[in-house]
Amino acid sequence: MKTPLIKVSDLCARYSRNGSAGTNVLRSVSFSVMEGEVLVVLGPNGSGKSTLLHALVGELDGTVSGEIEVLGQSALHQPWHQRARNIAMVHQDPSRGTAAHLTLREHCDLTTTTPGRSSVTWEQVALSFKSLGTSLHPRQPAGELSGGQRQLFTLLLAVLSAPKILLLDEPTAALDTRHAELALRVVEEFSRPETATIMVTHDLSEAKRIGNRLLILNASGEVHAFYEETAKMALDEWELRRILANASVSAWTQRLEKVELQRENRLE
Amino acid sequence: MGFLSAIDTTILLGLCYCGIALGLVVSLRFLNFPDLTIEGSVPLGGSVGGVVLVHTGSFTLALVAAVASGALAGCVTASLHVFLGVGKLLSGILMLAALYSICLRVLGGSNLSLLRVDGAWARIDSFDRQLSDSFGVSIDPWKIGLLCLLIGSLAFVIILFFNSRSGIAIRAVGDNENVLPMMGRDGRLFKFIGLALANSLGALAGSLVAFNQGFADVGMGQGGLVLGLAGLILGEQSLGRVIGSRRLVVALVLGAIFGSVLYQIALSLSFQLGVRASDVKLLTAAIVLTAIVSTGGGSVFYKGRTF
Repeated sequence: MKTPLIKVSDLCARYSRNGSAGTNVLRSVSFSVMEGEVLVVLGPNGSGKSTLLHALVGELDGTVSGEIEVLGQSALHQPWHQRARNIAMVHQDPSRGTAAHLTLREHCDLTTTTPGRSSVTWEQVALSFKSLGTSLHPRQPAGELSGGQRQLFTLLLAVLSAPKILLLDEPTAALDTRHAELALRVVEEFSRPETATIMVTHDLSEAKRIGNRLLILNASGEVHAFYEETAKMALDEWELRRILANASVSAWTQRLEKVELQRENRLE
Repeated sequence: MGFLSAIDTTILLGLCYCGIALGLVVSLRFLNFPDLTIEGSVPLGGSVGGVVLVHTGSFTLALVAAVASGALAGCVTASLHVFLGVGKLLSGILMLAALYSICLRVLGGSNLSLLRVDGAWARIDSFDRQLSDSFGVSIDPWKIGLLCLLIGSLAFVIILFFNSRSGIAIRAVGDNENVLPMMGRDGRLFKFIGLALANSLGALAGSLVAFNQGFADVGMGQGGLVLGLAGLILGEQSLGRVIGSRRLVVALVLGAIFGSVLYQIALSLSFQLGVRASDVKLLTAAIVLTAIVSTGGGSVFYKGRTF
């Protein structure tokens, strides 16, 4: 039996506030992601989706308990930079992944080869941009790029480093339609097939397009549902939108199950 | 000939003090760490360099010892910040206070005369004196030549370093502390390297000033930070703008050297216009303030970043 690339057991996370421990944002979250799988994380605002990714990569400013296994090894007590040798993460805010006064080529020079990731050359980035039908200058500082260009560059840098695990925190949320489409193409076309991907999103069409596993968190930060089949992802998008509009996760999941049942009945 | 003498002394002082502006380029601009330790590294470099010069007579050894002492001071500041979680400003303030006592210990008093020391620096000084005597005016071509060579080589090495992988990493830490850990690299190491380099440059300036004035003094760093800041800002505004942000490292490094000399020229001119020596610090503060306000409160290249 294959070992999951990332396995999370009974994960709890809380932010520290004014020196005292705050309330739990994540409660007993457990799941695993195998090689080549794309897990989509859905849930209402405040359900801890982004917190989950921050806890996995080790950049959470708070307390994390439970267990995180990366490639079969415990990673819970590893610092951020050590976990990042296997895990690449792209944030919703494009400025978080780049240094404004470094040129694009200098960003490539910062990448290193580790057992779980490869260094990225500017030539690789330029070639990928070209295949997407766009181009950037290597001596351009990252701070001079538009938000969309900056996010595409960050995403390419993460994806081309061929990480074992790729974490995407609403990577298209701040982008216009064209850049959002290009960002999705980067994930689809340039990700290694063996990479395990976890993506947080609110966009259901995106979830259906990229994902093949589904994790739903409720407003209390607990796992509401974890679907290991792709069938749930193929639900009609308008139905899912209506469910989301209710903003109640229990209602949302009930509707999901109802729609799934109706779908199965129709098929029969 | 009086003008020649004034320009000569001005350039010499500008070159001696430019280490502080270069140190600020590294700490304040590249690393985004407002490190007050540099003000203490100036007398530390002067003290350590002076003592080594007195005991060995070796100009080179004295410079190396001064630079090493500054690097050590920078590493201690980095340790306070990285390992003990002390804030950037506070770690510098603590080190500044500590370095005052350390300088007193090193010097064995509040000052040390370097006038009767034999060695390379003394020989160069005597060449300049011979030339000054023959022209009948005080000029220092040998010392300026030596300093141009030293500072020029230093600028070349700094520019090369900050375009290398380690230098880029230091600049990345200053811009966005998330970038290096996200790429699997520990950013803390680069804070140590950056602060060690910044303070070694401050200490180098201190030792050069001590050799030039013929004595090391525990109070020689007072106001040094503002003086360096004046050089840095004037350099950014003048030569830095000409070189442009596409060559950021070159613009900042050469700008700092040029700005330090420019600042000394401005001081010299103001003396000739009747400004009293006791008002120099007030004038410096006014120059820095004017430059900061004229750029909208920040750096030409790093918008929104103030001291």
